[in-house]
Amino acid sequence: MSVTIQTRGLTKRFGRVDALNGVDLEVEEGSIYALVGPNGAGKTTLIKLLMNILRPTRGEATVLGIPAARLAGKHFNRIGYVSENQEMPGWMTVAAWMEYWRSFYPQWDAALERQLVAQFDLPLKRRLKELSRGMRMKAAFASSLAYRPSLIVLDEPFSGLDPLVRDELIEGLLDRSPEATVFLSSHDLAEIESFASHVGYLAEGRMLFSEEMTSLSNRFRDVTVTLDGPASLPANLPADWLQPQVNGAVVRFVHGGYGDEASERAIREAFPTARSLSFDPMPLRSIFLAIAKKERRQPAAAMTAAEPGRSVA
Amino acid sequence: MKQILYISKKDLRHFWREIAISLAVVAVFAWIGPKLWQDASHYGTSRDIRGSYGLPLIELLLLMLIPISWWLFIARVVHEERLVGDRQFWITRPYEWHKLFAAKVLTVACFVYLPLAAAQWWLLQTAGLHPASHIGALLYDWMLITAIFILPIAAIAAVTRNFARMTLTLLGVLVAVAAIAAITSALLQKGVVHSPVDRITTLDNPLLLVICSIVVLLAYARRRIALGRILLLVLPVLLLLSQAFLSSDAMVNRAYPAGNAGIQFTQRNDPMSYESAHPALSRKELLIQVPLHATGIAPGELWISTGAKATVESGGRALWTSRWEPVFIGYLTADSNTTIPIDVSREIFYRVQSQPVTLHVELALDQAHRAQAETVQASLRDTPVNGLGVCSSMIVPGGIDAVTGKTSLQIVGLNCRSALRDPELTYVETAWTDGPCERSKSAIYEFPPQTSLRSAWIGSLNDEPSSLSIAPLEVTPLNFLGPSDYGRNQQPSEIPQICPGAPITFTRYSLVRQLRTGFTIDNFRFPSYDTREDGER
Repeated sequence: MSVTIQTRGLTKRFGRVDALNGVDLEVEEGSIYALVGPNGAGKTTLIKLLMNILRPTRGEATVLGIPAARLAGKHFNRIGYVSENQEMPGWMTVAAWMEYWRSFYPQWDAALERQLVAQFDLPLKRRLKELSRGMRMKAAFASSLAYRPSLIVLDEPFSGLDPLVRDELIEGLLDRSPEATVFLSSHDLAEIESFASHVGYLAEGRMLFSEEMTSLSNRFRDVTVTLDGPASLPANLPADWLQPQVNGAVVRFVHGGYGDEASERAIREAFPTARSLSFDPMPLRSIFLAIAKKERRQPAAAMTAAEPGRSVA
Repeated sequence: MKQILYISKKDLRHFWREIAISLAVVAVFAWIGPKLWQDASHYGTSRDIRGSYGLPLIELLLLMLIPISWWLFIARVVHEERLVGDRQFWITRPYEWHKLFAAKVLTVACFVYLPLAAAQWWLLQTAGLHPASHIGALLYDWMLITAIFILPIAAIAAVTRNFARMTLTLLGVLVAVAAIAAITSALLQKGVVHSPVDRITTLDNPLLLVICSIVVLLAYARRRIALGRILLLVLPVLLLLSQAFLSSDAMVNRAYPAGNAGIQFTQRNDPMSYESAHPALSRKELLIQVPLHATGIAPGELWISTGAKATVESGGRALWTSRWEPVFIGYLTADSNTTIPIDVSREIFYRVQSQPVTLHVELALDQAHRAQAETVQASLRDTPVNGLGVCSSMIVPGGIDAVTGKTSLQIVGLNCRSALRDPELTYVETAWTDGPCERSKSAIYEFPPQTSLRSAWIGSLNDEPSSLSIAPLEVTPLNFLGPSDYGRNQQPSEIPQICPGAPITFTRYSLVRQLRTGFTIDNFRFPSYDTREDGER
C-alpha cells in the first residue's frame, strides 16, 4: 500500500502555544482516515498544514507525494477539501458555483456533478448565502467530489448538521471512497465509527495513536473481574489498564492492550482470586473517553510505551 | 489563459454595479470636458459664468469621484479572492497565483485603465490635440496613476481582510501622511529638510512603485501578508528619508553643479523693495528682499532661478548660512531687474543689523535658450501652436454693433490647451489695440486707437512628459487684459483687445543646463524691521 499522507515531526507554534507538537502520521492510499480528538486538539491546524494553508514551524509533510509546503495550483486538481469554516462566495447561485469550478478542473465529471446535485437535492437557482448550513456543506461537497479527487480532506464536515444531512453527506462520501483516500477530522466519534477504516487520536497537539479501526476495536476491551471476596487493586497496574474501578468483589477497567491469552493470564496473575473474567468489546466513544481521561491524569505519551509494535506516534 | 478569463468573468458578474458606476463617472467626465474649455473661452458671458462656477465644480467632483470609484472597485476585486486569512474558498482550489494575479490585472485594466484611456484619448482628440503623438505622455501619466494611486490601493487591499479594514487602514495612511507632512514641516523650520529643486524630487514615485509592487507580489505569490504589512509601514519612513536625502546640499549640488553662468548680479538701489524686513514663514526668521540688477545675459538666453542659499559674513567669518530655499526671481533675459527674497535668522539680523556685512548668495539656475518662434494671427477659431497645444481666443462681449445691432465679441487673451502637462515655457507677444478694431468705427473717437505690444510668459521648463492627472488637458489661460484696462473706458466696445488678424508670436524656450552660481555683495546693510509686524501675524 502506498502512502497518501505522511508527516514527520510536524510542529506548529502560535506564539508560545504549541498547536501541534511533533506529529508523525501515515495515511494509506484508499483508506478512510478519521482524525479525532477534543476541541482544540490541533486537528484543524494539522489539516491546514497538510493543505499548505499554514506553514509548519518544524517538521515536514507530504501529500500525494508532494511536499505539503509546495502544494499549490494544479496539485489541487487531485485534492478535494471541505471545511466547516470555509468561506463561500455568497453572491453566487449554486449553479454558478458548480459552473465556475467546472472550468477549473480538466477531469470534471459532468455526469457525476448532475448525480451529486440530484443526490444532495441542491437548489441550483438559489444563492449560496441563502442556503442553510447543511445545504452549503452539500454544495461544497458536490463541488469537491465532482472532479473525482484522489484525496478528499474534510475538516469537521458534519459538525452542527442534522442527522439526515449528515447521512446524505456520508453516503455521498462513501460512494466516492473506493477511488479516493479520505482524510477527515471530527470530534464526534459516533459519526465516524460507522465508516472510518483508520483512526488517529490527537490531543493537545500530540498524536496519541494512529491505527486501523478494527485493530483499535480489537485492542480495547471492557474487562470485568469478579473475585471471591472484597477486591482491592494491586500496586503497579500495567499502563494500559485504564480507569480501574473497584465495587465490592468486582473490579472493572479498560484494557488498552487486549490481544490474546497472554492478556487473560496477566489479569489472572494480578487477581489470583478471580472467579470470572469477562472481556466486552467497546464502542469507539468509550475507548476515546478512557484514553482522554487517562491523558488528563498523566499528560504524557502513555499509550506509546505500553503498546510496542503498534503504529503509534 | 482560460483560468484568467474565468476569474475575470466571475469578477465582472459580481461587480457589474461597481463597474457601471465607474464607467458612468468616467463617461460624464469625458462628456463635460469639452464644454468646460469651450465655456472658459467666453470670458464675462453667461457661458463663462457656467464655465467659471458650474462646470468646474462638477469636474472637480468627478475628479474626486473617479478615484473613489476605482478605490471601491479595486478593493472589491482584490478582496473577492482575499489574500489574508485561512478560510477563503479559493486557497485549496487549483488557482495558480500568477493566473489569479493576471486575472485581477486584466479586470482592473479593462474597467479602470481602458475607460480612462478611452476618455483621455477622446478628450485629446476633441481638444484638437493628436492623441497618437502623446502616447508617451499618456503612458507616463498611467505610470504615475499606477504608482501613486492604483498600486498603493491594491497593496493595502492585498494585506487587509475586508473593505472595512481597508478603509480603516487608509485612514491610518492619511494620518501617517499628515504626520509626515508635520514632521517635514517641523524639520523645515529647523532647516534640515527643504528642497528648492522640484526636478530632482522624483524618488517618491519609484519608491511607491517598487515597494507596493513587492507587497502585492509577495501577497499573491507567497501570501506573505505580515512581511507586506511591515513593508507598507516602513514605506512612509522611507519616503520621509528620501525627502531628506533629496533635499540635502549634496543632492542639490549634484543636480546643480557649480559653473559660470556669465551673469553679473549687482545690488540695485530700489528703496521700494528694500525698505524693511518682514516676518518669514518660520518664526525664527525674517524675510528681506534684495533688489538686484542682472547683466551679461546673451540675447536669446533665459535664466530662471529655482533656489537660493545665503551666507552672511562679517570680518571674513561666516555668521550664518541659510538652507536651500525655493526661490523664483523671474525670467532673466538681457539686462533684468529682479528682487531676491532671503530668509535670515532673527538672531543674526538683530546682531548685525547696524553694521555692514558681506552677503553671499548662491543660486540654483536653469538656463534656457530660445528654441523656436511661431507667429499666428488672432482669430475666433482654434489655433494649433507647436509646444503649446491648441489655443482658442479668450472672448469678452463688446458693445452693440451700430450696423447689425448685435453684441460684438472682443479677443482679450488666449486659452491654450496642452496635453497632460504644462505647456513648454513660451514667451507670448501680441499687438494690443487700445480701442475698436474697425477703422470706420475708430474714426468717431476723439483719440484714434493705439497699437502696442503686450507679452506674457506661460508654461515651464519642466521636462516630465506628464503630470499626474486624470484629465488629459491642461488649460492655461493667457489674459492680456489687466485691471487697469477696465477703468480707462466705460464703453464695453472700448475695452482694449487683440484684433482679429493681429499677429501673436509664440517663442518657445528649452532647457540647456542647470548650474549653481553665486554673487557677493560687500558692505551690505540689512533693512529696518518694525517689531509690531510680529503682533500682526
